[in-house]
Amino acid sequence: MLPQKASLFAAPDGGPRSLAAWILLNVVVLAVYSLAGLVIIPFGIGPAKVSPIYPPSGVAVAAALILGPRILPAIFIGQFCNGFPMLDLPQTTLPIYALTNSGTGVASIAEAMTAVALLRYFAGNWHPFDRAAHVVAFLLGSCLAAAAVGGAIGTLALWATGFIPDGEIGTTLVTFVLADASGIAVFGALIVAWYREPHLDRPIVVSAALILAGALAIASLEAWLRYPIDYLYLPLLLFAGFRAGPRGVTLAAAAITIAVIHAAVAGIGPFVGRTANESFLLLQVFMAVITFTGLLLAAVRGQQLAADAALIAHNLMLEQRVAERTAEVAQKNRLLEEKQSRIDDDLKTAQILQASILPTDFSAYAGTAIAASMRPALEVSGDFYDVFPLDGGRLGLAIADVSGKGVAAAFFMAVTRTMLRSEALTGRAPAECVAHVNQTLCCENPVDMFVTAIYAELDARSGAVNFVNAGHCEPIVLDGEGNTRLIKRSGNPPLGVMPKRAFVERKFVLAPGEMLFLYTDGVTEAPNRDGELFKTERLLEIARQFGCRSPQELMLSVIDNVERFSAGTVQADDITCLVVRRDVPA
Amino acid sequence: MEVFEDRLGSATMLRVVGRVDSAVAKLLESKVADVASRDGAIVVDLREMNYVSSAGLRSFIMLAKHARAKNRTISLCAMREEVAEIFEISGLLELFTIHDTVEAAIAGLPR
Repeated sequence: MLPQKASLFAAPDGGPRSLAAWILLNVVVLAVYSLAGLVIIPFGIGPAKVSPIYPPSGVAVAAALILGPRILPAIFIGQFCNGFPMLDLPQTTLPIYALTNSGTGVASIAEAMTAVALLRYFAGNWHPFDRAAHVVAFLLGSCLAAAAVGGAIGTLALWATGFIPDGEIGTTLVTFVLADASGIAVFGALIVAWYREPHLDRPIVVSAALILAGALAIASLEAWLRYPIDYLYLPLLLFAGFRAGPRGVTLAAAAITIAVIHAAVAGIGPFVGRTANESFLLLQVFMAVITFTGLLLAAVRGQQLAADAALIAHNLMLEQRVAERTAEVAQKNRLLEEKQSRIDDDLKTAQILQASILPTDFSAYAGTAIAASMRPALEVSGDFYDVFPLDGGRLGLAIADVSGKGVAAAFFMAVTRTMLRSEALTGRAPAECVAHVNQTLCCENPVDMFVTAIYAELDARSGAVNFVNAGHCEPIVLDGEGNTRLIKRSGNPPLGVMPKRAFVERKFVLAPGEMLFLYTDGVTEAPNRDGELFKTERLLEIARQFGCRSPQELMLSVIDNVERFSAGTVQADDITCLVVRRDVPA
Repeated sequence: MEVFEDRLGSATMLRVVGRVDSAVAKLLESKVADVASRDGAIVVDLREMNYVSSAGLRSFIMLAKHARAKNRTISLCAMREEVAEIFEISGLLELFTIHDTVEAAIAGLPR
């Protein structure tokens, strides 16, 4: 199909294109056109019984606007036939009739096409209801200017065939033009408005009924009172414009038009002039004002409603966007929460796993009393202690502190603990075990990982302790009578720092009843709220105070003191203690 | 504790003042990570560091490990006796080049 939108000769509805459809369309338009011509006959005013409004013009313009130039034949034929009252006149011969009415037929076609062209040009549309400017274009162009074209041609035809004398050309022209213009303004607009919105929903039906009832009531009141109360039509028109849009306004205008013409014919109302022409002029001006006002109101109201609707739609869209964004964020949060909960679960598992590799039951080790505890600062710890039996009834004791905290430290801790224990179980001397562990950790170790550790072998029967302190906090020995001594470090670096390093082993004897207290710097460097540290001095003080108690009691009081010291702060580091007492032989 | 930083040619001079313990180790560690990411020798002036705890030592070990990983020399100089002792018993002296004075450390810088 060719793009026809821009063409003057295009049907706006893109309707049927077949010949049969074309004929049918023309027949329908012809019927309506003729009917519109017939119904107006009783409304003739004056001796010539001429109607002040010519509805067929409205039908022609509406049909041309809606259906395009396809229906021009119907208009021509309709107008040709509408001249039939002429046949009663004595001077009408058939050729004269044909000539005259061909002229008025051409006038109708020219009028309709002028109306379509001007509306297309000024409003760019096939209906004038969307904007106030379109209403002005419609009334000045499609009604007045188009009617002027039609009226001029029609008057010329009537004059040329002798139906009007020279002296009446002016009057006839004015009457012709204004009747056509009113016909287009009132009935053309009515048809286009209802064609544009054909659906009959409840509000429009109710409004239409109210409008018609209102017009009838006012007309009846006027007929009864015989007062010129036509101004009462104005509120009706306003109601129509506000409530029912172009359809309401055009319906109201048509109803009011019919009512006032009917009244004028009956000699009632303000439009009864001294002559027929006077009545025509009064009625036509009234109809023009009514239609113009109503359509303008409807257009402005329509624009306002459209703006409101656009605003509502915009707000709705904004709300929708906000809702979408909110949903997106919620979804992301949910994913994060799921991830967090997975990590939490993992950490919980790691915590349980880590705790489970630390021994807690020391009852099997004869000749000793042992207590141990590890409190991670985070979910998992970088500290560990270990107690395990060696051959010959000796005990392996270890405590260690991995640099850093959290998962990485915990992993490093587990590796170190396992390595140290398996080295120890080969029966090597502590210095050798530690050197091996150090070597492995140096080789397979990210740059910021290392571990301070003490590994000791205790022979509970003799009290002999062989131990290596690899950069760890100095152990405390308590003699059970309130005396303490620190076992100095001997120059060994932490594990995982210097490869191929030899480690110095120290020996001392744990006398019966003496306790060996091993700890990590989470104890001595626990900060309080003022940033002050717990320090070795405080630890020694507690050791002196509780040195004669059991390892368990000593350990708990140390932990308790550290906790009270750092009350109100977040635990800064893992806190680990391992206390071993050599029992007094029975 | 306070740490002052200075440049001497391509070398970085760090001056550590006060106590270095767990309360300030974080600060020293971030300084260390920053310095360690650069090139050039590192000289640490410890004239005014009067105490270093085991947490503080960790920062020094970290510095040494980073320097070693990048093949850079790191010297500690003008250590007080008690601090030197802590480094010694902790087996850390051999991680660093030790100088008695700052001047000696500067003289010892690679040209």
